[in-house]
Amino acid sequence: MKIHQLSLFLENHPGRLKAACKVLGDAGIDIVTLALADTEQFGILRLIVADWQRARSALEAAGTVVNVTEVIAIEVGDHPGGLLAVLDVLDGAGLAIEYMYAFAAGPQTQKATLVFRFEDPDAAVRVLARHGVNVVGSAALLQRVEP
Amino acid sequence: MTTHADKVTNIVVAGLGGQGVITASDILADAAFHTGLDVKKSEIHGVSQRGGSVTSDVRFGPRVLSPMVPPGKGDFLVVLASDQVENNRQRLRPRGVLITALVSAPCPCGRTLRRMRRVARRSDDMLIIRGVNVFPSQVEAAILGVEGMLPHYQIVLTRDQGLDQIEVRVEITPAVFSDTVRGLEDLRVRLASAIEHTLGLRVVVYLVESRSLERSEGKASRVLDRREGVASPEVSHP
Repeated sequence: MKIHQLSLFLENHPGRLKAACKVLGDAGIDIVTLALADTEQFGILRLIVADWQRARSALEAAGTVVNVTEVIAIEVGDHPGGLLAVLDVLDGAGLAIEYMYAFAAGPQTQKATLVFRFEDPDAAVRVLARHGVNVVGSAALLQRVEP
Repeated sequence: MTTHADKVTNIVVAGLGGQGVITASDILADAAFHTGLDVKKSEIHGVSQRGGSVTSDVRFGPRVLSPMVPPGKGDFLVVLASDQVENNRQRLRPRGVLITALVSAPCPCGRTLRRMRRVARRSDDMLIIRGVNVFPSQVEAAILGVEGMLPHYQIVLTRDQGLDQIEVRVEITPAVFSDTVRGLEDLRVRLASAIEHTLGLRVVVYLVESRSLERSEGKASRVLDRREGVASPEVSHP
């Protein structure tokens, strides 16, 4: 149920994001979705790609420091209050969200997919399953993006 | 170059009669004596009164037996006359330091004697930051004290409104890279406090990409001194 996310350390300079994307582009790796966290000094690029092992070796060969984290993709109703329902569940279980970002829009559906990073992803999956929240596995996720 | 406490330091001063070779070595010996070290000194001034060669050896350390610096054992060779450099060069040890810089042009004050240039820089890598003596190796030790870090760093010195500022750039390693901003800010704080604790100086730590800093030994690339007026003092009155 968990998805492997690659995180890259980027200095806060023009061209750093491009350099990382070029490595993936040259290796023929498709980015499924991404999010960029930025601070005054540096940025963290978080990526979900089709073939994370190959992406990691390509990036590491290019001298980039890569961190692999397990994140959870959650499906929420694409309507007002859809995310609220999931956050209610998380709040009730006392699960803190480290960060989250929205998935790039896939084919037309009534559902939106969000990526969450928890301190303890296994506990989060258990809680979400108990409350009937749809956690999307990586195979299903990739299938959805590349039908 | 480091001068170890348990080692004898050998200095050879050379020049011509009347230049102050003996006076210079007297001052050196006196200074060493006042630090509580054993000091021995010898002089050769055969035809000095006709402007001939003069040399003087100064040796100091915890215990010095002979007053002569053995051939090829000089740590420092100070030469006051440019034509005396070659015939004294063999007294220096490999990687010994030759100090000689003479100005023949008359001084603006009217004196016509040759003058020695002001001392330009240190021969070791010690830095003086806000009056505090700092060795880059201290910064390195502090960084290595933080788990998972490698000794890939650069010290950047600037001056803001008359006050020295130190910035330490440290390469991120796979072992310490976190996907959360909080994790990296944590690391930055840990590095900064480790360095501050060692140096007694407040520093700004920048995390940089792995392999982004130049790999080389020595002072040049480890330290970027952008403070004005520190690196190269102009020749002034002797």
